[in-house]
Amino acid sequence: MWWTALRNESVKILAKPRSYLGFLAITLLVGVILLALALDGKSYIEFVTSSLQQSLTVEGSMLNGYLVGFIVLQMLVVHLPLLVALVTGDLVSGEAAMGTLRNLLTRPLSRKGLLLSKYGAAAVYTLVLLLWLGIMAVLVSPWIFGVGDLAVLSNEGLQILPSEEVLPRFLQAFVVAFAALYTVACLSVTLSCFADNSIGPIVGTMATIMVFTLIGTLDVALFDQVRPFLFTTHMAAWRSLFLDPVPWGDILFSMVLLGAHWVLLIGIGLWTFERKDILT
Amino acid sequence: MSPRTLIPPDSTVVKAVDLVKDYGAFRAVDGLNFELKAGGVMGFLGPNGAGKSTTLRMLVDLIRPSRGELFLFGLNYRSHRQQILARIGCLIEKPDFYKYLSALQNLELLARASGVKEPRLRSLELMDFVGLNGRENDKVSSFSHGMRQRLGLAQCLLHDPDLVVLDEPGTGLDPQGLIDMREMILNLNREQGKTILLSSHHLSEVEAVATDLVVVDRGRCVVQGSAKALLSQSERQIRITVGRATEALTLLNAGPWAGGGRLNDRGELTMALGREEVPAAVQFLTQNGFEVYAIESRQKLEDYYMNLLNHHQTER
Amino acid sequence: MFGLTRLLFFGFVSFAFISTGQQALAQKSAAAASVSMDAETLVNRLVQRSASLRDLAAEVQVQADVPRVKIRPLSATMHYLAPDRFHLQSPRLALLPRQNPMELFEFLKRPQGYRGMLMGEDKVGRHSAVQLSLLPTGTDQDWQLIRLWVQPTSARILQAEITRRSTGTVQMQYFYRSANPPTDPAGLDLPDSLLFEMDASSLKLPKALTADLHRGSPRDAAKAAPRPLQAPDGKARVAMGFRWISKNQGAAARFFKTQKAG
Repeated sequence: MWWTALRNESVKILAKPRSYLGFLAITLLVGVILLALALDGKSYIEFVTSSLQQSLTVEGSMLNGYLVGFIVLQMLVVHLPLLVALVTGDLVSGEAAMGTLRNLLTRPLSRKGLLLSKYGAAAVYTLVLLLWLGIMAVLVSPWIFGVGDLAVLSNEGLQILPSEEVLPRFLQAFVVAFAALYTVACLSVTLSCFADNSIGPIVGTMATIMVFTLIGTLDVALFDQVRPFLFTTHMAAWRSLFLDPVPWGDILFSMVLLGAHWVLLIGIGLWTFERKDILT
Repeated sequence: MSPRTLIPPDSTVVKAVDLVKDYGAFRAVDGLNFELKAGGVMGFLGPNGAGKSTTLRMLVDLIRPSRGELFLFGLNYRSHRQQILARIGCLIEKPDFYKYLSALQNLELLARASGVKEPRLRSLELMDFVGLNGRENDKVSSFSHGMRQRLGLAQCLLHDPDLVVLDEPGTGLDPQGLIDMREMILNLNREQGKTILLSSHHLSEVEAVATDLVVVDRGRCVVQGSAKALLSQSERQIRITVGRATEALTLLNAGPWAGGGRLNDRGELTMALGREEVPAAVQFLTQNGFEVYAIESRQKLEDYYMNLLNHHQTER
Repeated sequence: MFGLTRLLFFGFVSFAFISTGQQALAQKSAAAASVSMDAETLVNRLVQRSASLRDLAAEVQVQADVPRVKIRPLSATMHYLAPDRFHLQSPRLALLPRQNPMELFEFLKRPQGYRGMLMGEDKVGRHSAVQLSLLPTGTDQDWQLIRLWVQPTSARILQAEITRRSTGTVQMQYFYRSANPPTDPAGLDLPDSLLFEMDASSLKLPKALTADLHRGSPRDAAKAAPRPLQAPDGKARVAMGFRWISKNQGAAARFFKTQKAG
């Protein structure tokens, strides 16, 4: 029955116009980024390498599709959580507001099964959205700009990765990015269990991300203990896949922590939903 | 779905024992007790705020009782939720659907959720039953209120339930719609053997279909019993529009209906008659040269209901 | 008697001392005379070797060791066409010194552009060398000072230090597999590997191409401090190893012609 419920959720997500907003937004945003880099990418690169160029020169084109793809991913890490929450925050509370939740909950389907199917649908949606971003970043960008070594800036400096290693790293990065985004999805679905309208969970999710990000950014000793355990601290863990060598230990820690968030959030959602009075 | 157990006639389908529901300090249902037997149509009546909707939502596990017990088909929700819901269909408040899906898509989705083996076929059957054939592919957003009510009835029958709970199914329906709804309810009960729990403010419709009545007020059961037995406690009032009403009344008082007639404020003749007595009374008047222009029966349930509630509220 | 002996002794010692000093002076003068003469000769020999440089192609291994930059060694094909066409053919990104490896030879080809002075003897590794300073003549040049360490007998460049207005000071070390250069004085004496070394203390890189909102945990912050540098002395080094495919055989000319046509 869980698969049937998941299928039903997928039908609903596919039919909702709101679901396509995220794809449209990604297409437009990536389009803008690609256009900007096509027109002025060289000066962007020169800004990075100006200090190097006093006594060194970079042979080959740093501005290639892989770099553009990496820039696209970095820029959209801020926007993707909102695009995810826009749909997943509506999964329970939207139905409550519409009145269709009572139709579903009077079927011979357990509340737990129904809610788990919504978490499953949220996972599918997040994955598809990320895949679309991946197609735009890792397929369309190289198609326009060509491929080559990937030059990545980080706290550690400039890393230049051989082009043959880049695609596998992107794939791994998407897995880690999915883990982070799905945490956002789980948060919004869980908040959705407490509300009878969609706006609350969406705003609540974004507010949580903003507050946690702020805590992660402020250099206050009080927050040092908490910071490693905030999921927002690990939302950019995918970037570690582009370090050389890859800090697998740190990435594993991030994945475990994000997985723990899934379990916690889904647990809270299930507990709440099982006991919730459906008044709408 | 697990194999269905056949319900013996007259077995108890619903049993509420000291049902209580609190919302904070407010008590919506206050120790409600009632029973519904298989095969009947129970009219579930009460004024606004009596706790009817709350009770119906508890019946279908949308909300959980604060105290008390609720048994459906002899089972309770704590241990047999899915088994119970497999045998209940409900239309609670206004029928809501996914506006961005068509009528058929909505029904198919709910049929799948109900474990129906052939969702599409079953959905088409029911759309035909409720008179919506030809509108399968129209978006629900384009449906009128009456059409949504019909679709609402269809969705609660998808998994062929034994108990159908209907909360205000006639709301917003035009007279033809009301008649159609009544016919469908009677069909479900008399042709298909389903037990119906019907809550409605359309007392005439309830009176037309109900075999049992429960009247609730302020979260408590005021009266419960067979409709016939309860309604026979007060007689039917017949208003006869007749020429020379005063003379007609004198004649009636001198004959077999002595004391059974009176003139109302407008000078119209009213008589307390059983249903079988009406033709004889009319014949008596016409044979004695009185012109009978119209015969009207007052809603007996309405009278009964209003009197009951007035009495109950006065007592409290 | 004793006084005379003492006088004779001191006289002898003085004479020995003075004559030794005179000899040393004479030798130094002689050496000085031979050094100043050899600067011109040495320059001529360098010019002679450089003049024949026209067209080169080589398979090259490049390894860059730059503070705060991580780049893997790469293999590429180098094409050089005199006077200034240089291309590294590789699908990979390469970090190279701003001056191409052959620029010094191009510079040496034009002796009218500089004045050479021998600055004495030195050792480069286990090789004896003389230090030759080349001062560009004219005031408007990017090249400010070139110091070469050259084997005097073979005019083989072992080390160079080039100071340019645009690139600062770059040190180059030349390594050769063969013990001796070509016997033909006009024959090309190309190194088999070059090591460029330059100051990287002013190198600054932005931390990210976009805002890094998720800065991370204190562990991340600790890691953000620069790792122990590969070159802890703050110098950037680029090593190039050559396997010469073609020397003055037109390979580079054909390559650049193909590129232009393409």
